[in-house]
Amino acid sequence: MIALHHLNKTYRVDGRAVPALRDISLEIASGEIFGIIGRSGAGKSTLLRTLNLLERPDSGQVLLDGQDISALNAAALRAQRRGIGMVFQHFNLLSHRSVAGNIRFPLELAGELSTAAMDARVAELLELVSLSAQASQYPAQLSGGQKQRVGIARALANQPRLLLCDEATSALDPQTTQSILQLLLDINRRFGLTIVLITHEMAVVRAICDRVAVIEAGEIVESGAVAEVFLHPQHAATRSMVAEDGHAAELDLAGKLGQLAGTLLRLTFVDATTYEPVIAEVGQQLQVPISILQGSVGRIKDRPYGQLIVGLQGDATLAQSVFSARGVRCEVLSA
Amino acid sequence: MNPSTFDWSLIDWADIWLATQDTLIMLGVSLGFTILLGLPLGVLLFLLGPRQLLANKPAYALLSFIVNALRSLPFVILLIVLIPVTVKLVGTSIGVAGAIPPLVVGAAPFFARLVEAALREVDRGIIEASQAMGATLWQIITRALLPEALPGLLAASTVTAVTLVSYTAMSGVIGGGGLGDLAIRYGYQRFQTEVMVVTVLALLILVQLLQMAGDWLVKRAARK
Repeated sequence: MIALHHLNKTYRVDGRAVPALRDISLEIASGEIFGIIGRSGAGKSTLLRTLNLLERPDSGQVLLDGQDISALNAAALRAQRRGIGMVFQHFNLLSHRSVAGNIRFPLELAGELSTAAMDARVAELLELVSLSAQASQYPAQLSGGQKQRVGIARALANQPRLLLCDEATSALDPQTTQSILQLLLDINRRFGLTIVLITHEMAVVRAICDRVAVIEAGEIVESGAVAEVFLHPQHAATRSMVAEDGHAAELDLAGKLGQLAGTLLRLTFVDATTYEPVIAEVGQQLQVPISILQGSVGRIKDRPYGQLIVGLQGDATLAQSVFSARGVRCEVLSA
Repeated sequence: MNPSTFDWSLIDWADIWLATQDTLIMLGVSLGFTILLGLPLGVLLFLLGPRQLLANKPAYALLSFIVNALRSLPFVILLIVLIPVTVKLVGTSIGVAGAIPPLVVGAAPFFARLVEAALREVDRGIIEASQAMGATLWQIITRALLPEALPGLLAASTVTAVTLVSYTAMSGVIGGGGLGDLAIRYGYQRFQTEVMVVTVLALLILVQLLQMAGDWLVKRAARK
């Protein structure tokens, strides 16, 4: 659905050139939730804004359904933008308009619906985000989570094909974050809406994204299925973000390594194997003791996963092949 | 001067009432034209400003210079300098009609600056969100920027109205009519302190009423 080809963007700050995007190429499939994760200043916000040309790249192409939107004239670009919803970190609601008025705003701008049709659409959207009771309140009277629900309803008003989320949960508390993420997931499933979100939190990516790209200093350093990137981070930037998240098994046994006999293995289970008694069975089969040293078990979106660091006394190569045969990824960390 | 010695019978209340009406007409008409000219000028200043939608350094610098130049002229000087223009526009340089062009020229740049400042108070995110929704520039101005800035714009109009009241008083210098004119001709030039006291009181009440009305409107418009 979205294809970015070799995007480059450089800002001029006090006469100095500061590269914001460096040769970025990405493909985002229709119906998926795609996460772009990076630290502040990594360029993720600029990247997201190239998708509706709020930021114009210096070079490269932004293709939406095969159409290069950077080649559109002003009117065609505005029409294109109506098909792309956007949700913001600080909500950006109009303070002089009620909840219903804010949701109605993009419908009025488009000017395609009759008053009655607009009212019906607004009522439908209020229902969708569970704010029917707050329809006539003003943004100042709402909580952060409620404001973001208004933001989401507004973004969906013109029935977009694509929803861009700019740190949509970063200004919210953890509980509210979860409810907003669930709402996004729900919308994605019900309407088959493609969602591109940027965030600095691994937890957001883990909760709802199908695929993720890691951006660092204006470059995509790693991308792929969330489970793959999360469980087997390759780039240093990804590793440090995964480590901060605290949900993946990271080797943190530095001082104790000397005391450990045997081989250290990292085992990664995904999907069904997570529920099987693999370790006990392999231990029995090989007749070797296996000790679990560290690990975590959880979910990435809907996929259960487990990642353990185990100590094994015995033939590591044999163990590795036995684990692999059972669908468990096994890496030797130290011998 | 001892107030007990004032001879209030010297005051021609019909004259005072007539002058009050003149002041109100000058104020109303000039405020109307000031907003009519100053609002678009202020919006333009805002849009041409740094990092705004129509950001244009030379155009902003030029417009900014013109506005500053007009604002730096003392109003009394402006009254005199503008006499030929006023005659062309309204056919006379004196009376209520003659006072209105200089009042507008004096107040519009001032109002435009206040409008620019009020628009800068609007969250940039709101402009960005409107753009993302496919709004045209006109839609952004009329449906997002101006309504969001309404409390600020009403406050700016109030300040401008109060400034115009003091300008109308000065226009007495060129025979502009109104309370200021009365105060100068009777109160000052004929030493009728009673007239001075009454006109000053009338101006004071007028300014108080304007400020109260303005504050009430701002409060009603604010949703924060």
